[in-house]
Amino acid sequence: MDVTEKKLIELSVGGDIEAFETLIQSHQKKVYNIALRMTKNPDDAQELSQDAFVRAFTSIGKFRGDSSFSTWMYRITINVCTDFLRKRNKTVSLSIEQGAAVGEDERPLQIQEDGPGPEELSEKKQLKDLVRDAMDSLSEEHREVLVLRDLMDMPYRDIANTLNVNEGTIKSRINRARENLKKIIIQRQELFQDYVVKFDRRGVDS
Amino acid sequence: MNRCDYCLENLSAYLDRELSEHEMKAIEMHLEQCDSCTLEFNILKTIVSTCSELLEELPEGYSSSLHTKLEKAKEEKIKNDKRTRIRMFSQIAAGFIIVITLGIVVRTGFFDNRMMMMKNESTSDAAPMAISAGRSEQRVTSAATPSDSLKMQKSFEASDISISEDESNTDLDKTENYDSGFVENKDNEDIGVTAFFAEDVSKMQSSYVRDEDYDTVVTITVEDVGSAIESIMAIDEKFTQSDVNNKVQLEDSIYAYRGGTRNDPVELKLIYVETDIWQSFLAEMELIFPNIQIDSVPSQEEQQYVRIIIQKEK
Repeated sequence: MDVTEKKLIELSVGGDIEAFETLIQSHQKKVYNIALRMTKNPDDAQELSQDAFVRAFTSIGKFRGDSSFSTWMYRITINVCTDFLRKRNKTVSLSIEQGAAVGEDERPLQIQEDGPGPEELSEKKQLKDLVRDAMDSLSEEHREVLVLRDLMDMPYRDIANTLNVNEGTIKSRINRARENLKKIIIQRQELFQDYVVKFDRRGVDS
Repeated sequence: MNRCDYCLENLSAYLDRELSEHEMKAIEMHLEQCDSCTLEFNILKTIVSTCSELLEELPEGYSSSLHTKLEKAKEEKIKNDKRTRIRMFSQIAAGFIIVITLGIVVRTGFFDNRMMMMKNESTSDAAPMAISAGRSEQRVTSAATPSDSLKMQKSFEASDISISEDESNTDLDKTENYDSGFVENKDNEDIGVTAFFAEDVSKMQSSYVRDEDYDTVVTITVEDVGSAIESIMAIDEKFTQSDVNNKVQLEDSIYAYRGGTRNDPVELKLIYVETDIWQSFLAEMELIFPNIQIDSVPSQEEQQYVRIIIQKEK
């Protein structure tokens, strides 16, 4: 832990909001994105990620520094989200069909009216939508490892620490999660196959 | 397992560079020779690189609404700490009344000879000290000394003021409480005293002695591991000062064991630094899980843990 971070943590323990805000500056976007992929909803994501920061602020005195601050922060975020999803699943299970219908309306798979621009750009965007959508339909367990690995760019060891499971489990869970992700994507789109071929060719060219 | 199976199973870890040098080399060599695995690898690479581009920007006004929430949380924390203090003081007051009553009983000679002897042991005729002496016989740890009695006296006087004050206090009072709100150590003396009374009066029978450098190993056997963890979580939540890692761990394992399908035993490592809270925790556990077994083993780490092993009943 570097000296500035340590100092900021000390000040935050004393209730200094500004110090805490400086401390979390570089984590805000990431924490928001964890919550966004976990809840799949921007409003919930804002609410929950902010709750996670508040929780971190009020209990920062308990942060003992045996993991990095970011790992600790992500762990709190994942827990706040899992808690929320567990509670929601209890109440929502009655109206599953409704919920699914609304979800589809909100984010159609094929976005036709992409703004003007090079063909490749719009293709890239479609691919992103496709992958995001596939990720959203993964199980919670698989989603959380991929968010930590691919969006947060964490090494397996830190993911294991964050989720409190061993590294071997993380390794196989990530493998299975990506397998599933691939299956969903292939099922949904042929575009993807084309893209991979292009990608492959470009890779050889360059 | 043939080579392709081995390769596919480790493809993700290969991409993430999370394999040993030897394994990395083996996969690399296989990919050079195998077209179908190479295609798989390219697909995977495309998916993963797209995933890493999924980060979205923060919504507008995110930081400012977070700031408002932090301000509110700070205010609430200060208020809560104050309320805890008041509750603590009233407990001390209640404890004190009992001690005084007992003192009077002792003095008027309603107790048997043993108690009389204890009274004689104490040099002063102050009632709280007579009880303190009696207590130190039962429990090895935290024996009360005359200075403890003095502390209690002080706290009691302070409680009078706190309780009679209105809930809506002046700003001056808030500032005063603010310091102790976040630097929690200041309160430790008071907490010690509260636990001293509360436990002494209500749970005379549970006397665990804590050894330095020893972990406490608690073994329980239950029908449903998931709900056992939930009960432990409920106990943990009673202690407002409880370690956030306790909560995180408990939540994690509830998540892992929900639905009651998993049968393997679970081990939790909880932290209760304060001896009083540690004692209350064990007492509560004993109440809820009658078949509990409590041992202590030399601690492997600097920190003393309460290691809880939950086994599923066969």
